[in-house]
This record gives sequence, structure tokens and C-alpha cells, in this order.
Amino acid sequence: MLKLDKVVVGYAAAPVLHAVSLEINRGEAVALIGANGAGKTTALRTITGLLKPRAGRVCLDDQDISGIHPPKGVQMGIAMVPEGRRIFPTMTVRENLLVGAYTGWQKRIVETRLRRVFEFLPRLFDLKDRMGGSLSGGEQQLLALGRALMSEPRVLLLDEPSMGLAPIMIKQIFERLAVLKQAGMTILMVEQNAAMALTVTDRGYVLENGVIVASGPSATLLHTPELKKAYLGG
Amino acid sequence: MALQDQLVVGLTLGATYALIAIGFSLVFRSVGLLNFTHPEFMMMGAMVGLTVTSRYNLSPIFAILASGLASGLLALLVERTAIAPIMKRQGQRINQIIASLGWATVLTNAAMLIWGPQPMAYRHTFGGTVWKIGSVPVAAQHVFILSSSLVLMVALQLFFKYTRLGLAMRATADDSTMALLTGIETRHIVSATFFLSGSLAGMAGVLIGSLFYASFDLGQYGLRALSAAVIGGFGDPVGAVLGGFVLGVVETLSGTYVSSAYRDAMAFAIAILVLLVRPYGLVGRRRRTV
Repeated sequence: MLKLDKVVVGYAAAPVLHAVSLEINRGEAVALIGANGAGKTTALRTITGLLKPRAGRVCLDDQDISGIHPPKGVQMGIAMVPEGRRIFPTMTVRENLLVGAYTGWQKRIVETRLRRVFEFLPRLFDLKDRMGGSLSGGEQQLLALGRALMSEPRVLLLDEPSMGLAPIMIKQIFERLAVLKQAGMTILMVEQNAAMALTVTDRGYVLENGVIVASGPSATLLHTPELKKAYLGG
Repeated sequence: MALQDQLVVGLTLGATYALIAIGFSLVFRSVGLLNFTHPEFMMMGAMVGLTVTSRYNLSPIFAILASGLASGLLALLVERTAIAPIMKRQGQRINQIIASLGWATVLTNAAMLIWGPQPMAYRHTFGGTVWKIGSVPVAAQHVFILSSSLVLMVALQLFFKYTRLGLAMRATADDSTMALLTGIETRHIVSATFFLSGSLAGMAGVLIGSLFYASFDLGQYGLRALSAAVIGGFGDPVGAVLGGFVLGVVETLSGTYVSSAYRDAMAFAIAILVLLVRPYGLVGRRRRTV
């Protein structure tokens, strides 16, 4: 469903991703793991259209979406839960969620979606009138997830969902993600915390310095030597 | 003039400053730009309002709406020609500021060419009617200006809180990249923000013009309103309102008790004093820059 085909992309002179290819099938949960600076966030930014590949393509359902205008990507069903949450600090929880539904704005539809998100993430209902900026890291993560779900995405992109969170919060988030996966959501998760990521996903790719060095089913990937090398250096 | 009268005048003046400051803050919060054309949107509003009331004999409310539209469109023009092209080419912020200064010069000179260099008074649509609130005599004109300003500010708050566009503007101001990722067309939002800010300035221009006079160099009043935005807390509309009222009152009082020749200096002196004590303005908070 979502495919990166030999993507070369970068910021200034040197490319960050070197001919990276990966694939996520409908209903799969895939992890992209690697150490800091490996290029994981760059990969997600390329999928959402914030970055345009210098070579290679990004495809959604075999349609080339390389360098797509990000709002168009949202309309096509790509939703992002970004690194650091990036919830809107001066807006309430409820307003943050409403912004998530910006592309499908009809009153009845939005209210229905809001109710569904509150059911799925009940903590958000308790917090609904709180300012986004006053929430804890874990609560913000729930909010960022809820906001992404408000657009009723086909593909959910998560950038380091466990970063900076207390272990109990991490468990909660990943439990919700597992439920989403069970319900058929297609997920691409970028994570430094390899162990955690590989527990909720079907498959994984290991990224090291902009190159995929290993891939395979999550259960086996955790024990491959390439993974250890990617984190600890070899 | 008794103290209560001065307070009334100060608050009236402050209300107009608040309207100008809100628009200025809005653009700064969404785009991060110090838009130096902003005082001229106010000036243009005053000139258009003059033409509407004096030449065409239409009511002041119509003048306010007409000026709001005219200045809003001017702001849109400035955004499309000077701001957006630089942003598109990833140019530096300073170039946008310089471009806005360029437009300010263009507007000032255009006004001088169209309306001539002489300051002109508005027709007195209130005929000097004076009401009494308690024991304080209040000019009907001041009541009109104050209430119009308050209506506009309330309308603005409702707009931001309950409309889809208002929500999108707030999201874009908080984090424009994230807004883009939630599907908001931030380019359109920026244009709409400019239109709104110019519109507010234009409407304030009619109010100021009717209070003082209309002239091509009215921009200096607008510049003082920018210090109101700083006093209140830069980038915060609530701060802009507060700063506007504080500036209006202090300026009027100091005009009487210190010297009216130093009004400009007082405005900026107050701003500096406030910043020494509260570096982010009266209501401003340290913002996480994204």
C-alpha cells in the first residue's frame, strides 16, 4: 500500500537516505528502527511530502506521491503523529482534535469522529477542556494520536511515540496501537526503542546511516547482529 | 480636564490602539513577521472613511465597513506581492520587513497624491452630543468609538473560537508545519490573516480619523500602537488589547500632566519601562519557538 522505492533524499549537499526501499502492506504494522541520526524522521518527512526525493519514488497504492503537498497527503489518508508530539499549545484538547478533522469538516461527521476518539482514548475526554500546553508528555502523546485519528487515516505514521515518556505511559500508548492494528489500521512506526517497537509490529526494517541494513519479521529481527551493530557500532 | 474625562478619552484612544495592535500581533504570531506596512493600513482606513462620510455622506458604520474591506484588500495585496514571493523562495525575514517598509512608503505617498497633503477633519456626525454616565459627562462620539471597538474585539474572539477558519488560524500561528500536516492550507491561512489584520487596522483608522483628523501621515499614530503590542506582550491578542488600553490612558494622562509634545516619546518610554520589568510584556509568556 505504501512504498518507498530507492529513495534518495537529504537537506543540504549530502543525502540522508541512500536508495532506501521499504514497503508496508495494507493492515500491516511495520517498524523502522535505528539509532539517532540514522534518517528515520527524514523517511517520514519524505512520505508526508515535506521533503521531495532527489531520486526514487514514494507510492501510495501505486500512485506516485513523491513531494506531495502535505494537505493533499492528509486528504489521501496519511496521518502523522510527529516527533515531540507537536500538539497546539494554545488550544484546548477538544480544539486540537477538531483541527485533526480539518479536511473532513461537516458538523455531524466531525462530532461523530470526536465521540469515537474519546471512546478510544477516554483520558482525552477527561482532559477535553485543558490547554494543550498544560498536558504532560504522555497526555500530549495520546492527544497527538487522537488528532491523527480524527482525519480517519488509511496509513498512520508515528515518529518516536515512546520518546520522553514514563514506562507506564509507553505501555498505555502501545496497547492502544495494538488495538488499532487489530482493527486493521496500517501503521508505520519509527522508533529508537527497538524492543518496544518490535512487540507491536509484524515486520521491521533497520536503518543505519541512511541505508537499510536488515529487515524481516519483528520477532526474529530483534536478535539479528545487524541490529546490535546499528545501535552500538561495529 | 477632570481626571474622569481624561480616563474616558484615554480608554477611547486605547481602544483604537488595541485594534491596531491586535492586527499587528496576529501577523507576527502566524507568520513571524513585523509588518511595517500595518500603520499605513490604518491610515488608508482613515482616508477611505473620510471620503465615505464627507464626500458621499454615508453613515459612520458604513465607513467602518468600507474601510475594513479596503484596508483588508490592501493588506492582501501587500502579502501577495511582497511577503509570499520572498517566503516561497525561502528568502530571509529581513527582506520581508524591508519590503513592508517599501509598501508603507508607497501607501503614504499614494495617499498624499490622492487626498492632498492637508489634514482633513471628519464631518461631526455626533454633533458634540454629550451624555452622562453617573456624574461623568461622556461625548457620544467617544461612546461610539469605544463600543465599536469592543464589538469588534468580541466578534474577533468568537471568530477564533467557533469558526473553522479561526481554528485554522490559531493552529497555523501555533505551529505552521504541524498545521500543514493536519491538512490546513497554510498559504491561504496566511493570506486570510493578513486580510483580517489589515481590516482591523482600517476600521481602527476610521475611529482614529473621526477622533483626530485624516491625513497621509497618520501612520505615526499607528506606529505608537505597535508599542502597545509590545507592552501587552508581543504576539498575544489579549496582550494587545491590554497594552492598547494602558498606552491610551497613560499617554492621555501624561499629555496633560507632562507635555503633549512628548506623546510619541512617552509611548516608547512606557514600552521600554514595561519591558525592563517584564521582558515578555504584561501578559506575554516565553514561547517555545518551533
